[in-house]
Amino acid sequence: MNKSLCYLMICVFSASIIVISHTAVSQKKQSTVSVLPLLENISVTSFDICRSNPKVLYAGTDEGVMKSTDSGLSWKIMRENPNAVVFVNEVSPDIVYLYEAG
Amino acid sequence: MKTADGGKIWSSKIVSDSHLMNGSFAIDPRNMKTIYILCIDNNKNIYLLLKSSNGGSFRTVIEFKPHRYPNAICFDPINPKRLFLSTDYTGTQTSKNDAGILLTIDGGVSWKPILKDACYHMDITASGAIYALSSKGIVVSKDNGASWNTIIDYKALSINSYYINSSTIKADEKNKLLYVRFTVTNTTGRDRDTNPYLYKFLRIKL
Repeated sequence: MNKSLCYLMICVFSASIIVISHTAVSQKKQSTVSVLPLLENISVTSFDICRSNPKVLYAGTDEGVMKSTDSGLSWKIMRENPNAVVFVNEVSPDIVYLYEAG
Repeated sequence: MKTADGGKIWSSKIVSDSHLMNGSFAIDPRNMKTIYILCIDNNKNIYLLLKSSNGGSFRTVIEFKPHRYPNAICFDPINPKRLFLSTDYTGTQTSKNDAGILLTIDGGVSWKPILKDACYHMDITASGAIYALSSKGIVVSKDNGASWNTIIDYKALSINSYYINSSTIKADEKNKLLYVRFTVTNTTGRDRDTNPYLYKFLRIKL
């Protein structure tokens, strides 16, 4: 076989592999997301958001029930009972239900 | 617990209220007296799905197999006839086979699997999108479970899904944010004797 023809075939074959690999990667590719850790160094055992005002979050932590009004960027302790399970009313972010075990 | 006199006397209507967590009860938006609750029967050490049609007395809809762990039940806000249930498994390969997300459209009489990967928790948004913490990562379906897309896998979050002990997911569709919380068994930390669990609370911008 002609040397240059052989070289051409190898190039075409390699290019096909590259195209196939790229397609496989594209199908598996996840959407780009950014991840921000919240309440680092605090044990968060539950949380809930208010559906009507989703910037309001409550978290049950080992330090007590904490509230955020800015999508989790800052937090304030609202009640010092540790590890409560929190449920926020869907309509009013001021109505919160707690389940405190024990 | 239920009160019929404005809170003076309370009566327990549930087998056990232990393991109450976010997502463990759902109230039918079409009829507030129809309530579903996930709970554990401590005598048999199995989980139950209970249903009340009158807001007070409950009957068992599902008695889960041993090692099967239901963790969230949600109505589809677009079509409240649709009720979704997510389940995980602990330990055995047998129970792994029927874990995932189930759908009922007949009030819990029959259930159809719409996700066959074990699911640690789920949330359904006002638009009907289902966000789930599946064994393969955080996934979303916007067509009632017909297809699923991976948002992010656990490797990217430095989490080994095998060691997830409990978790919660909530979606804020308006601001394109996802909130996820994990309690993970501390297997490698030098302080694992004093701190058996590690906690992660993350905000994910979509």
